[in-house]
Amino acid sequence: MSNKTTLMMDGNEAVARMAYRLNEVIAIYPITPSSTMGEWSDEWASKSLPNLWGNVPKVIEMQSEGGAAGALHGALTGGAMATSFTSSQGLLLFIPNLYKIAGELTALVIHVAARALASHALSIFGDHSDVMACRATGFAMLAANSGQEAQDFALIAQAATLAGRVPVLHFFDGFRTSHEVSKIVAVEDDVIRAMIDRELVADHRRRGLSPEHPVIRGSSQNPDVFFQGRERGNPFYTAFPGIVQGAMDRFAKLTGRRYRLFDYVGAPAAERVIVIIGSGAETTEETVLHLAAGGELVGLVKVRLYRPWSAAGFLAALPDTARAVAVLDRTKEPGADGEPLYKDVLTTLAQAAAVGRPLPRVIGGRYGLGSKEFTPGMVKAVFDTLSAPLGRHEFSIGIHDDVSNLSLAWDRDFRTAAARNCQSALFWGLGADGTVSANKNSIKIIGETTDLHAQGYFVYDSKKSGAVTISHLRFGPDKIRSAYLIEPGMAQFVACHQTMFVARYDLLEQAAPGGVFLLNTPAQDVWASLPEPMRMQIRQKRLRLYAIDAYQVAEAAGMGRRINTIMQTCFFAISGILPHDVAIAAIKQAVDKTYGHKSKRLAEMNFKAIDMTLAHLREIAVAPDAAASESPVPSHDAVADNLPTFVRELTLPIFMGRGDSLPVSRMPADGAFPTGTSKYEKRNIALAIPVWEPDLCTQCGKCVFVCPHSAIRARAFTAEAAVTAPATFKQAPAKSKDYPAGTHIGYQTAAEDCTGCGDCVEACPIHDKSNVSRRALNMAPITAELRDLERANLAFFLALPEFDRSAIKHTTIPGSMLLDPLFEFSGACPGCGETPYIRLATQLFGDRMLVANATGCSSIYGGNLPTTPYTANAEGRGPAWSNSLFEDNSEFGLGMRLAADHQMDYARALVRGLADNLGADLVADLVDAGQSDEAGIQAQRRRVAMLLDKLDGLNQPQAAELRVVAEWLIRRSVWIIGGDGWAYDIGYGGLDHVLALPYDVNILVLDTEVYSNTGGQTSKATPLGAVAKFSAGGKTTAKKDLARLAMDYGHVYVAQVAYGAKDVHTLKVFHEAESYPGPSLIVAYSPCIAHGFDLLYNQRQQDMAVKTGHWPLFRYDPRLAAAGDNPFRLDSAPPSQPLKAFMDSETRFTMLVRSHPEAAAKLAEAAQAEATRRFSGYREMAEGHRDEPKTGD
Amino acid sequence: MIDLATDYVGLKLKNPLVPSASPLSRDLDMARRLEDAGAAAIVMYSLFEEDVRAEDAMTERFLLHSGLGHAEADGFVPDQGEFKGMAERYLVQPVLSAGYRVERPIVDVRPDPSIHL
Repeated sequence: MSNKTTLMMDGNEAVARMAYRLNEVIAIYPITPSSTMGEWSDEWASKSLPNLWGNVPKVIEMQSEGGAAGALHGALTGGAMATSFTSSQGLLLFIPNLYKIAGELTALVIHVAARALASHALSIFGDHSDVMACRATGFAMLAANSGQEAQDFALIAQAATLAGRVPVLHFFDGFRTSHEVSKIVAVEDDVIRAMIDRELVADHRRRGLSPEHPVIRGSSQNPDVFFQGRERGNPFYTAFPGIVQGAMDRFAKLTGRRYRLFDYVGAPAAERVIVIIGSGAETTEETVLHLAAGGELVGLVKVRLYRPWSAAGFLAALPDTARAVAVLDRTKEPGADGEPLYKDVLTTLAQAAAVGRPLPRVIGGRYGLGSKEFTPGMVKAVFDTLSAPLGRHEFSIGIHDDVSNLSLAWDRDFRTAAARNCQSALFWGLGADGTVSANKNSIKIIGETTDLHAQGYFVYDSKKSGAVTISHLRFGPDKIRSAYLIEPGMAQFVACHQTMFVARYDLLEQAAPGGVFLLNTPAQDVWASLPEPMRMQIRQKRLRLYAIDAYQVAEAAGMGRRINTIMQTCFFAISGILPHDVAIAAIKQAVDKTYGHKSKRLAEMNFKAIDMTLAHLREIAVAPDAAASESPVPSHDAVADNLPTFVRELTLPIFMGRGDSLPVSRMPADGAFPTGTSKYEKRNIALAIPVWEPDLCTQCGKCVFVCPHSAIRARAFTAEAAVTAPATFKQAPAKSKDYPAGTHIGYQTAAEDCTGCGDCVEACPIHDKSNVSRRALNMAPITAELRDLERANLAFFLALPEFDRSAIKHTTIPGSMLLDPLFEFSGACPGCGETPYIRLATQLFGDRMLVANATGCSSIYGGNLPTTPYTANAEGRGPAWSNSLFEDNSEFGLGMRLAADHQMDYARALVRGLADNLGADLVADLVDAGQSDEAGIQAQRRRVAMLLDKLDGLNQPQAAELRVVAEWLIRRSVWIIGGDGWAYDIGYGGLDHVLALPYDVNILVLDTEVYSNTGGQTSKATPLGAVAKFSAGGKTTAKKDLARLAMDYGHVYVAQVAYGAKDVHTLKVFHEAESYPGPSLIVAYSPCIAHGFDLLYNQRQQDMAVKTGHWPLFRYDPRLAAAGDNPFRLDSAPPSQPLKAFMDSETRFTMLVRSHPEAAAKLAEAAQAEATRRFSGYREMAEGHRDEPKTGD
Repeated sequence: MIDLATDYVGLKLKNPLVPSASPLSRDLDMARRLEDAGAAAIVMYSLFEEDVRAEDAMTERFLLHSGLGHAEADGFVPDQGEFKGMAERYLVQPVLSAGYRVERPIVDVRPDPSIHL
């Protein structure tokens, strides 16, 4: 056995370490939760770490998983050792190549962090629906249940595929295994070398396509021989289980870790047995050991090699004594007579029964879809149902199914001895406060400095602003198999790093009796500051309460608001899990590692904070007062009054953190949800909000334009309408002459929905002459008083009738910003540069918008439960939105256009057919009247209302038909929205095709120049010189000029905009694009947190991007060409500053100056040359054409 | 020849001509030219506390702690490995590290002792 090195790492890192050592070409495309495997590989390659053969693997990011699969297939065909990492929809895009690779008997292992497939909704979380969709590809399927196994199986699979030539899909559970940090015994190089047969590698290379000994593959075969050829590979599959077992046995000899194709755990003479794949097997094992220790005859078969299925292996593993077997599948096949594993087990047992083996009762259940929790209580419920004399064949566990009544009830208080024997700690933090990274560091310290086993799992919410994170940490002397969250009453330590959570969440549900509660709070009288339900829990559970004002300590140490090391120090000080000095030394060592060379100043500040912490940490006396309180549920800031039923019954429980308890009947059957729910959430995350000064304000509307969350609004109303306003409601007479006398304007902050980014104040151009720091809008710290009065003001403001839209000037910023947004309070980052564009589109066209949204940031903040930001106007009209996939969004939107056009044509035909009944004028207007602007749309709405009235009096069958399709006579504004990852990369083929067609769609590309949603990977929009994942040394090629490619067609309206540089240009472009009756493409510059600057300066950076030539503004309008004009208008001046000024202001560029100063200088020079070249190209287009005589074609 | 040698803050200088803090000392070749032209010492260009603090803030927020705490995006930048902050870079720049070849002493002025060099 080799020396044991243990490392604390997550499953993805463990797998990537192995895959990196074993391969030469790694072709990937980022997708959650597999992304970090590719990122680790890229990082190691950028540091020139060698693989087993002493060379540095080539790691390449492709434009889609389809591209990665193609490159992978090519690399294998070329004789290289190659691999990839993927998940979910990505794996689906691999499928065509998987068939090819398997059909060609190619040695390959791909590593899959298994994730749910999008169906009624998208889920980034774990289940087996993706891998189970690959059953027919011919790939072997090997499942790992933990980080340790995932590492080990990565090697075993590689050894087996080289020997058996059946490619292997190695999978493990997304998030639960891919992201859980645990103590893993590393596989050393000598083991790898012993496992990987050099001769088999040589055989693999020799099978590579070579002109030195040419063969042809991928031939096309006819009915005469295709079938025989397909059957020719059978012996390889027959042999493969034995080959895998052989590799497992060799591995066991080398490492002591023994695996079998099917591993049995439990009572030797078990009567009730669960069969399961994946991390759920760990929880099941923990439960089986607990129950078996109590004398119960229960057992577990862990399926490791699922394909090729070894019936003999399964039967050998299952005790003959088994009377009842429950097969658990983490996937769903609607309409099937059971899920895949269930059917395989049933088939094997039936075949065995046919030759005399007793046939147990076999039932099949679904569990854990989309990372639904799977706990020991649920395992026990499955065993209990196996004890019942008669049970149904099909069941589900983990939910309450009151529709099909398939779910089993379970005991929520059941706990295993193993769970009781380990220390559990729970930490509540905010996404950006460093809680998760501090906890990862803490378990690393504990795992690597003690013999304790440790586990860390991190739960994130789906918002990008004010996101809550909950860290679940376990430590103990024994191996931790608890693949589930810390259960109620089990955490000996609960820490809350953010004071405001106290009023918002039930923080102490998981606290164990006699445990510790640590709170970061500025309160002097901590006990008095706690809500009574929490005080009651503290008393009832006899918790010890500790408090620290971590922000004060951080401030005093010069660290601003970074509290992570302070709270980490508190944890070690209170928990005593390590000797005090050992813990402090380890924390300081970690700080030194992080900051040492980068900034001694920052390191010293952290040291100071650590040293100051203990003096400020205090234990708070728990007062014995017992003011009675009925409910232990904490209050929530949500508006609880007058909620629509749907919101009260579905949305509210989800954002209260009680979504798990919702029964099946509460869910829409087809995934269609009401819009306009974000307004109920009231997240109250801003520390400061904008306050309006009507006396100074010129009512320019710029603050409304830049607000990423529609949290500052403007409305026009009559003075009379506002007489009942609260005294604190601010208004001013309209300054514009566009409105009749007596019109008032109000600018109103949605205090509880604002994220406090400050972009509005930065955008405000008006300064008080007597006090230049005072603007017409100023950030004020949020207080309860300010929040309450603004809440009342907002309620009044929103109840004001909307001003006649046709009386508002839509073409000016002050005018258009008086239009109500139909996109509000999204979960986007504070200062997001994308959302103002979407909000603008909804203000102008929202009541007639159909939105096709590519997967990405905009689909997450646009459509992630619990609440969604698209909303409706007072008449109930608003954007109707859907997300199909990442790759198909242009096509999806085109389909919406075709449907709209077709139904409009049908409606028109019906209208014409009923001309005698409807009257010629109405028919002519309905069919032919223009609808290119607001007035036209409103007129058509009135006509359609008249039409419906008239139809009520008609009883022809055509009238009934027309009633259904009449609404389609109103022109639909189809918007195809997504990010650069979609438009430049994965969806470019579709985008290009839709642009090439003549249909009226508006394509809005929110260009952040990087994959924002999946964490900063390079896209083809990434600029030269920028650092991004997969361009760690700075991107060496220029950004794709998407706009220019689109302009080449000639019939496409194309524009490049940046609202922070020229808002009125953006506004003009949106009008022109929407009114253009063919395809329109708007490429919209969207500053992103990934750019590495404070998004308070969002607009300043946009302006700089334009002024330095990084982002020229222009429009290309085919209507101008048709009129004989130059269709191209360059709307920004020649660069007035060097590009370097822009690059020096964003970390995505400057980080290279720190790490690779010489490369940075060269790339900056190349980037300047490219910017200059592009701008002159545009200038030539703008000027060159102007010199040509007008042809007037 | 008149002996212009003098003492300045404890340094023995061959003459009292010392180019003061300026971009001239950013570049090694320029430093050598100054020396060849008779400079008795060179004052290094200023390291501004505001610049150090600003870069530290950017490093901390966008490189070391860039995570949003979002399940899909744990961070936005690739690990840059070891790199040096502004103050640390100051000390390893060619002019300073080649100091032994610039035969005259280099005056290093640190107005703020909290800047750890």
